[in-house]
Amino acid sequence: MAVSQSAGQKSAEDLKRERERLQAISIIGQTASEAPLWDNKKSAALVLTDAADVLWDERPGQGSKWLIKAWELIAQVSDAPKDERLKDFFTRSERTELRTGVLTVAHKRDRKLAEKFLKELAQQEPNEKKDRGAFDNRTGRSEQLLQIAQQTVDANPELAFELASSSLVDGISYGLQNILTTLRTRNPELANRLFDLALARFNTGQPDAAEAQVLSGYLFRPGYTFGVNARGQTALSVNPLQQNATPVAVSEPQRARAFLVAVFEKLISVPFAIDTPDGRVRAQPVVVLGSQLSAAYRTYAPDLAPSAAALLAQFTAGLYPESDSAGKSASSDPAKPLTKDELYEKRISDLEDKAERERNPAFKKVAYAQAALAVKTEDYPRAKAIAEKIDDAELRADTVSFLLYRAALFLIENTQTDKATELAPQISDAARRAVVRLAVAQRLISTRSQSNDSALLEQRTLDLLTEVERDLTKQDPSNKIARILLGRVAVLARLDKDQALVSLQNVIQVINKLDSFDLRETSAPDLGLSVAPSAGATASRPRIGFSFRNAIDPLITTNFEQVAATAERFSVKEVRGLARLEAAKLYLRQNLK
Amino acid sequence: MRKQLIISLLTMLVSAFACAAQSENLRRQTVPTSATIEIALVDAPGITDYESHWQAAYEIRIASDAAIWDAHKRNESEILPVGEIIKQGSFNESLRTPAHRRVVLKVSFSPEIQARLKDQPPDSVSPKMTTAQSRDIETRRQNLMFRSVVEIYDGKLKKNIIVPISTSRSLFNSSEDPIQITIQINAAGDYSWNSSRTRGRESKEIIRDRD
Repeated sequence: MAVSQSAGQKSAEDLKRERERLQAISIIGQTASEAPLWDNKKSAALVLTDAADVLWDERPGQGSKWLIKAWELIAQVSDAPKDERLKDFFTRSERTELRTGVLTVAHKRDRKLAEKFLKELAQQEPNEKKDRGAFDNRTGRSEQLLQIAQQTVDANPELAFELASSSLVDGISYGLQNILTTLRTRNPELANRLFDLALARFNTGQPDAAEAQVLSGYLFRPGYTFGVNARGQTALSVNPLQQNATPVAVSEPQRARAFLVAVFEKLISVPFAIDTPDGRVRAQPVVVLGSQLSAAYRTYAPDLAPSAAALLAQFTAGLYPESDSAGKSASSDPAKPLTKDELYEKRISDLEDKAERERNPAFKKVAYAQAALAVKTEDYPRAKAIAEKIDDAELRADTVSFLLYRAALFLIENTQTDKATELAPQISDAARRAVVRLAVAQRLISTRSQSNDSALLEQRTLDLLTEVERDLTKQDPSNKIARILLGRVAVLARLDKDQALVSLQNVIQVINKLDSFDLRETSAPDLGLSVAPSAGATASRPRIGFSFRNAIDPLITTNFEQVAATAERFSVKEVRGLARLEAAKLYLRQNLK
Repeated sequence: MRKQLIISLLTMLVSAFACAAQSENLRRQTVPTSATIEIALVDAPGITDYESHWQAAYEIRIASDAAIWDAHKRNESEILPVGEIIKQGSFNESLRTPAHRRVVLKVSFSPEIQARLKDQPPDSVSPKMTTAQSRDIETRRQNLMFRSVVEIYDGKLKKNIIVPISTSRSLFNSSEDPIQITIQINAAGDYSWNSSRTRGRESKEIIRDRD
C-alpha cells in the first residue's frame, strides 16, 4: 500500500515536471515567434539567440533560422561604446556583445553557420578598429573569436585553442593573454602551441609594442597587461585572480628566450627617429616595454641584455632628457628615490595642498573630493576627515557616504562583517546603505552552516533584508533601486521563498514605472561619486547578482508556475518577453541537471 | 567574464605630439585672435522644469607643449593646472529655453599671446630634427586649456549634479572654430560630457591625409 502510494506520488511529481517542461518549451517558442516584431531589436536578438540554443534539439531546423534572424536584427543595434567614459580603455558596444552571443551558439550548434557569420563580419569590418581602446582586440573578427574562446576555454580547451589561433590572422590581441593563461591551467601543451603560433605571427609581420605586451604579460607578469590605445596612451589592466600565479617563463625558459629575441629584433633594435615627435610616439611604448623586460633579459637572454639596455637607455635619454629628478624631490635624501609609501603620502598631501590653495570655491570642493578619494579605502577615517572640508553640504554628504560605502564593502570582503555592519547606519545614501546590508546578509547566509545558532543568524539576516526594503521603498523608482531590490529577492529567496515571490511582484511594480530596464544586468549598480566618474571602480562589487535571473534562480524549480505567472506582470512587451524566456530557460536548464 | 581593474593610466602622451607629419598646406599657418568655447546642456530629466538651473566656474589657460609634457613627467598634471590663466569667470543661468541651455565663452588673445601664436614653428622644414630643435618646437607650440566645474540643479531629480570638465586644443595652425562641449544627464542622474575635437584644424587635415 505504502509502496503504491509512493509510486503514485512519484508519478504525480513526474507529470508535474513534464507539464512544466512543455509549458517552458511553449513559452520560449511563442516568445521567439513574437520577437522579430518588437521595436527593441536588442531584446529581440537576445530572445532569438537564447531560443535557438535552448530549443535546438527540440525543434530541428528552427534554431538556425532564429540565429540568422538575430544576426540580421543586430545590424540595427547601436555600435557606440557601451560606456563613453571608458572608451579610452574599452569600446565594446551592444552590437558586439550581441554578435558574441549569436556566434557562441552557432559555434556550439552549427559550425558552418558560425563560419559564415564570421566571414560576413570580416567583409564588413576588414580593417583594424580605428579608435581602439587600450584593451580592445584588434578587429571585429578577432574580438568575436577571442570572446567565444574565453567563454569556452574552461569547458572545451581545444575549441578555445582553435578560435584563438584563428584570431592571430589579425595580429596579437589583448584578449589572447587571458586565454593563454587559462588554457595553461587546463592544457599546458595547447597553451604552448598557441603561444608558439602567436610568436610566429609576431615574427612574420611588423609587430607593435602592444602585441609584445600581451605575450610579455603571459610569460613574465601573470594578471598584468599593458595596453596602448589608438591615441598612443598606455594603460595597465590588472586581473587580481591571476596576480599571484607563478610566471610561465620559469617553466618555459626557451619560449621566454625566443620571445625576448623576437622583441629585440623586431622592436628594440629597430631604429626610431626619436628626434621627431612622430618617432617619439612610436618609441615611447617600446621604452615602456623594454624597461619592463630588463630583468627578463638578464635572466633568459643574458647575451642580449647589455645591447637591449644600451639601446633602451639611448631611447630613454632622447625621450626624457630631464627625467632624473622625477620622484626624488621630496625625499630627505635627494639621491634616494621615494618609497611606495612615501610616494603615496606625497600624493595625498599634494592633493590636499592643492585643494587648500584653490581660491575658486567650485574648483576647491571638487579638489577636496578628489583628494579624499585618493586615500586608501581602508584608511576611511583619514579620507572622511579630508571630505569634511568640502564646503558644500550635498557634495560633502555624498562624498562621505561613498567613502564609508567603499570601506564597508572592503571590510565585508575581508570578513570583517561586524565592522561593516557598524558602518552601514552612517552611510547617508539609501542605495549604498542597502547594498552594504545586502552584502552583509549574503555573507551571513554563507556562514550559516558553520554557525552554532543558525536560527539567530537567519533572524539577523531577515532583519537586515527588512531594513533594506524599508529604506528602498521610500526612494523614487530608478534602475539602481530596482536592481538592488532584485538583489534583495535573490538573497531573501534562500531563506523564505513565499516572501521572495511577493517581493518579486513588488519589484516588477517598480520596474514598470521605469522608461527602460535591463533584466539581464547582473553586476552591482555603480554607486560611485559623480564628481569622479572612476570612483565607482575603486569600490569592491559584492557578488550577489542583481538581475531578474539571479532573483528567480532559487525559486525556479520549486515555484516555476508562480514565477512564470509573475513574469507576465511586466507591462512592456519586450521586458515581459525577456522575463518569460529567462524563467523558461532557467527551468529547462535546472531540470536538465 | 574576466574581472579587471584598471588601476592606472600610466603614460599619457599629450595630444600635441600625436600629429607630426606635416603636409605642405599646413605651413601656411593661421593665427587665431580669439577662442570660443560653447557649453551646452543637451539633455537632462528636468531640463524643462522651471526649478532647474545651472552654473559654472571656469578657467581658460594657455600652455606650451613643453609645459604640459614637463608637468606630466613630474606627475603634477593631476595636481596643478598647467599654464597661465588668460580668462576666468562664472555664469549662472536658468534652463527655461534652449538659448539658456547654451553658454558661449569668448576670449580674445592679447597682442603678446598673438605674437606667441605667430611664433609657433612649422616643423616640416627638416625631416629630421635634433633633440634641441624638437624641444624648441615644444616650447613654442601653444595650447588652449579649459577647465570648469559645471553644476546643474535638476528640478525633476531634485538633485545638484556636479560635472568637472577639462579639455584642451592645440593652437598651432588652429581655426577659430569653437570648442563645443555637450553635457547630458540620464534618468538616473548620471552625466556624460563630450568635447568637439580637442585639436585644431591641423589634426583634422592630418587624419584625412592618413586615411
